[in-house]
Order: sequence, then C-alpha cells, then structure tokens
Amino acid sequence: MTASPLSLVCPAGTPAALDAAVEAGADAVYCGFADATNARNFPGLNFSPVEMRAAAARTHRAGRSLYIAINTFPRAGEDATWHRAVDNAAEAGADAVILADLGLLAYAQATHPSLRLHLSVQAAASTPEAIRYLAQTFGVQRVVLPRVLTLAEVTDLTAAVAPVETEVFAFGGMCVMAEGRCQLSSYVTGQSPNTHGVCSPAGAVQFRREPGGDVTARLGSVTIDRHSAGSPAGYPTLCKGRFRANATTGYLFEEPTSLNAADHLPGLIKAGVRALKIEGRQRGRAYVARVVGEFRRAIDAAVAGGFTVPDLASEMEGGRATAGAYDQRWR
Amino acid sequence: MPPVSLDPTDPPPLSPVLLAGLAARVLPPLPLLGRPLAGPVAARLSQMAFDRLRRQHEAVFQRLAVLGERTFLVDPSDLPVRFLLRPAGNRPGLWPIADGSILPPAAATLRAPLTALLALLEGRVDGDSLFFSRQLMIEGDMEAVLILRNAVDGAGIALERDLAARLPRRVLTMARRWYGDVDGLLHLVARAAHQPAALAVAEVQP
Repeated sequence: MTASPLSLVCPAGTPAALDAAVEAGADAVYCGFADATNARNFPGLNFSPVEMRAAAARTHRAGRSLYIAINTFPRAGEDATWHRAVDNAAEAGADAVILADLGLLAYAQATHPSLRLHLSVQAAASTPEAIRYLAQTFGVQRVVLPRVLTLAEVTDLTAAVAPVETEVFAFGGMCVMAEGRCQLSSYVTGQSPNTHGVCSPAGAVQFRREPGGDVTARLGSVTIDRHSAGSPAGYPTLCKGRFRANATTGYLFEEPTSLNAADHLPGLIKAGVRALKIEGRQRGRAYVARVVGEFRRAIDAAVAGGFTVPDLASEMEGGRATAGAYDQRWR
Repeated sequence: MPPVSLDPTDPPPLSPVLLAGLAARVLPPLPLLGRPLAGPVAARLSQMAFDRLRRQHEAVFQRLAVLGERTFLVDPSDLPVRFLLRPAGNRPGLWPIADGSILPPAAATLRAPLTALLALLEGRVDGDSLFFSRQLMIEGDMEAVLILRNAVDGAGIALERDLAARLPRRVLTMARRWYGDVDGLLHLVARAAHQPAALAVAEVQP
C-alpha cells in the first residue's frame, strides 16, 4: 500500500473484525482488551492477551499497525488492572497505546519508554496548551481530537501543536458530550464509559413491544424512548432519548444519527490532519468491511484530487448522517 | 432489504421464504406437512445442524459458555415456525416450535425475516444496522443477546460449507439460482404494487 498523508484508523471488536479491517484497506486497526480498561467493554467483545498477540502478528504481517485502546480511567485502588493492560499491550507488540488518564500516561512512559503514546478522545484535549503539555511531559505523539471542533478549529489546532499529530473521527457513533466527562450513563445505571468502559450497559437496557406495536426502550428505571414500529432507531443511550417537556415530545440532546465526514476529506487533508478514525468496535465485521472499504476508496480519491461519495446509509444510526461540528451548523 | 414492521400482525417483506411460509400455513395439504415440521423429524434435523455447527466452531461455543442455561427464542417472521436456542449449559440445542404452540420462556427473543437471521448468523450483515432499520427486533436480556451476537459475528460460520458440503455442487448452484430468480421476480412485483402509492405521493409533494 502506498503511503497516504491521511492514515485510516479502523475499529475491531473481534479477531474477525480485525481481519476484515485489514483486508478492506485499514492502515491501522485499534482494539481493546476484554475488561474495563477500554471504552467499549461490551459482553462478548474484545481480545484476550493471547488473541491480542496473534492480532498484532497478523496485522504486522500485512504491513499495517495495531493500536490498543486503554482509554478508561483507573478506578481507585484498582490501577493494577490498567497497568497490566499497558504491559500486555507492550508485550503483544502494539505500535501504540491510546490512553486518557494522566497517571497511566506516566506509567507507560516510565515502564515502556519505547512504546508510542496516543492521547484518547476520552482525555478531551482541545487546546494547544493542553496538548503541548501532554507531549512535553509524557511524550504523547498523537492526539485524537474531540468531536465538537469545527474544521477551522481542527486546522488551527493541528498547525499549533505540530509536530504532535492529530487524528479526527470520520464516521460512526456521534457522541455530543465532552468525552471522558459525560456522566449521563452513570447517573442512571451506575456505570459510565469513563471508568467501566461502557455507556448504557446491556444489562440495564430493555426493549418491550407494546400491544399496539410501539416499542418502548428503557435504561435502568427510565423510559428513554417509545417509537412506532418501523421507525428508525438509535442506541439506547440517554443522550439519544426522546422526552416530553412543555407539552412537546422530542430529542432533548441529540437525534439518532451517525457522523459522516466524507465531504470534508479534502479539507482535513489540507489541514494537515494525520489520521482519520472510524468509530465502531461494537459493530460487526460486515460494518467494518463496508465502512473501511468505502473510506479507503474515498481517501485514495481525495489524495488524488478526486472525490467519491461513500454509500453507507444502511450502516448509520437512525439511518441518517451528520457532518457534526465540522461544518459548524451544529454546536 | 426494505424496512420491516415489528408488529407481528404486519407482513414481513415479500420473499420466497414468505411465500413458502404462507403456503405452509394455508394450502392443503401443506398444513399437514407443517405438522411434522414441528415434530420429531424437524427436531432431529435442527439438533443435527446445531451439533454440526458446534463441532465445527468449538471456540465460539466455548465463548458462549458464560450464557449458562439462558435460552433464545429465534423467530423468523416469514415462517410459521420459531426456534428455541440454548447455545450452552447442560443440554445445548436447537428446537423448532410450531405456530400456535405455547412458547417456552426465553431470556431473549430475536425476530427478523429468515434471510436477515441467516445473514446475521454468517456475519454478512451488522446486527446494529439491522436493529437501526428495525429489520431486527430484540426483546429481553440484552447482555445475553450481545454475547451471542458478538461470538457468532466473529465465528466465520458459512452454512453452505458447514451444513451442505455433502450435497452435490450442482444442486447447490441450482438452488441458489432458483432462489435468486424468484427473489428478483418478487422484488419486481413488490415495486409494481408500490407504484400507484409512489405516484400518488409524487402528485401531492411539490
């Protein structure tokens, strides 16, 4: 594969999804261990240390990179679990670890000085000062930017923090909250993506078909949506719930929709962004193959000065897409 | 596939499977054939298929051991039969349940057209995408559903290879072609049936 100015970083929740990502043209694949150390700690998902070693070997044989997300915040008294994850990542041969917690960055730098460090979006670093501090203190070489920045802000920030690389989200789940700081899931279920690695844990989710055919979605003890049969659906999270207030029913935070920044590829390349991230470690290998393949073609076309429109409507939450904050129509 | 309603009284999409299901329900003497479907022969065939998959994908079923005795009701919306699936526990298996029978309790129910369920089993389609478009309805224990979905998605199950490998290649090719032809024809019929409504909408909209 020829070197592109924009690296395509793709999700894998299972070994099969990893192989699908590599085959579809990912430059790098990111994964997590099967515990609370990563922000997609869903039942039946993720890799054991043995599977991770095999994944690294397969990825490297294909000439691609493997990043390991250890991007939750260690719970008090349980930091050994997170330290072990960093050790396992280094032992597996990861090309980088994606971290959010300052203590974990310090541990990784001190214990595995040759291990490349990427800053997770969970760290919510969005100013030149914060990013420079993390680079100077811990040797962070790439920062994944929050999904709330406009294209102009991404451009300015990328220039300001060079030679630290920037990585931005291009497709997938659209989290509108300040990542790493959102407590909505914790408020209702007692578990959050920040410390348990899971937003709206499956054990707290219930779907029920009502006698008239409507479907009710509940999270813990809270009804978060009720919709007619056949209408598009989203993830059962509080931020995508539909509530009744002042005699009006609607989405208070965000409608079910997916981020799709394909239209902004030329702008992101021009901005000097180093990597484009696809969200979705919780998705199946069919999603990974489809989205990665479409974005591979779109990036290659954009680099060559052309333009292709990825056909990904069937993979989108709620069947709809948004360019999010990139085009500044949404804040 | 077009979106499908979750209401069990609404029809699933027009397909060869739906026609077969309707035929099994209404055409004499097919209802009589429908009875053995839920009887010992079908039960034996289901269990044989399940055991074969279990032997060929041992690692997947090891991942599913955490489910214990939890069961799933798998409901192909276009057929007059459902299946009770117990992937792990003391007595793992797959049992057909005829329409009208009393349904056994299950940890979760998965309902979708048969082709969607098979695509999901083979990892050819993403479960979240089916859910977003309402082609897949899920009720019950979401944790169990995710464990099942994630294990199966990574399994590399290929039914034709795993279950039908002993059938002559020519038979498989003919069956595939026949299904594709009928499916294409039915899509044409469905589009033709929708045409008056589409024209009426076009007239109303500016």
